[in-house]
Amino acid sequence: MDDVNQAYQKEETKQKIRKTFLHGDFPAVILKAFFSKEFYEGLIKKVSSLHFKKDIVVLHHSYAVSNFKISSKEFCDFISFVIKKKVEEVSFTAYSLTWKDYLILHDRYVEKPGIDIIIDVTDHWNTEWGGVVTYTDGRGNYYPLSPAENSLALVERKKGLNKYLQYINHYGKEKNRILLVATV
Amino acid sequence: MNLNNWLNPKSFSAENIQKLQSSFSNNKPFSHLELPDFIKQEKIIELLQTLSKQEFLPKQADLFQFSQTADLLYSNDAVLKEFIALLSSPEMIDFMQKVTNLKLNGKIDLFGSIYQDTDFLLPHDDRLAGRKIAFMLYLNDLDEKDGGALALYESKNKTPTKIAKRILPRAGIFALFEVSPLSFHAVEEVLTDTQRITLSGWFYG
Repeated sequence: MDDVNQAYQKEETKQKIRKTFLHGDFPAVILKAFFSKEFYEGLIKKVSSLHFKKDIVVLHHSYAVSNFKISSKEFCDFISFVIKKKVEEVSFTAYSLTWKDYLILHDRYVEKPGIDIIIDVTDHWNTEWGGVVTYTDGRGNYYPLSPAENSLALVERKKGLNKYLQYINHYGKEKNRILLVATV
Repeated sequence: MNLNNWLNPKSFSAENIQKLQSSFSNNKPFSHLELPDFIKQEKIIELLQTLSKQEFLPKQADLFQFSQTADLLYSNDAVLKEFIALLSSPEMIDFMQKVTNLKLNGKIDLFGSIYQDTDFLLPHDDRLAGRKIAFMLYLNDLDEKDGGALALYESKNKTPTKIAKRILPRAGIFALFEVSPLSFHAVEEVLTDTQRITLSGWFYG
């Protein structure tokens, strides 16, 4: 059984993805329908059973968090190949956001540069509700990541590139935006 | 200019100034005031009408989503020019200094803002070089169900902790607060089709 969608395991495809990630104008790739159906269903089941704890720092964020690990060899090999860095297990922070939640930029809370690995596990998210992960370079350029269930985003966050998560408005109050985010 | 055309004559009385001084400095969670009848009702209507002719541009970032005019100090509109002259008049600056006990230099800026359904401004303190007093004049009414309240945060160790007070927009309220390391505030999300329309800016010092 495959963990990663077979389409992403072809050598030629992996090479293209790596090239885009390493040499694109914005150092990022977003891969939709990334995991196999079976693996993704198992992932959703595990994420659904997580215990999320509310965490609010008024000037920076409001969300609920938990921890989550993926040790699938296929997944880790794929990540290692694309980013050209050995990864054997990925420890994620699982974020759950709903109405009034946000993650904003603040001088007091700046992330160290690294490579972000973001797995979107939210089904049918409408961008009109907010909740879009957006990167900005501080020079007026914004790079929003389109929400898509079962997608993997890899973003090289160099110095000066920071991410925020748009405030979720009242149209999203019945929903939860769930993301797995790790930095390597 | 004749201030009486714009202001409630009682506003500048010595007795009122003394009362406002005390309220400003004692109000929690940080020094602020709400002046419900400061500007005459007919002028509020004139300002609302004239603002409807201005161009508003949508602004969106991590911290906010709303629409705003350019700096109205450069507007050619007669009503806005008169309002700006009022705000920067020596009498108004003197009044603000007495009430707030803050030294001002007469410089102001002024913007029109519209918050519509889902618009918001997340918590921040407004601090920027020279800003002494933030002010906002509400030009229409919103009910609690509409959202759009100005939320003032209490702080611990110069970090905002929770909302201590909400100021609900009511046409004609002139609200002001001292810009300081403690002046954490937000505009809560607008939840209905009722727009939140304000003129706001800062007195500098």
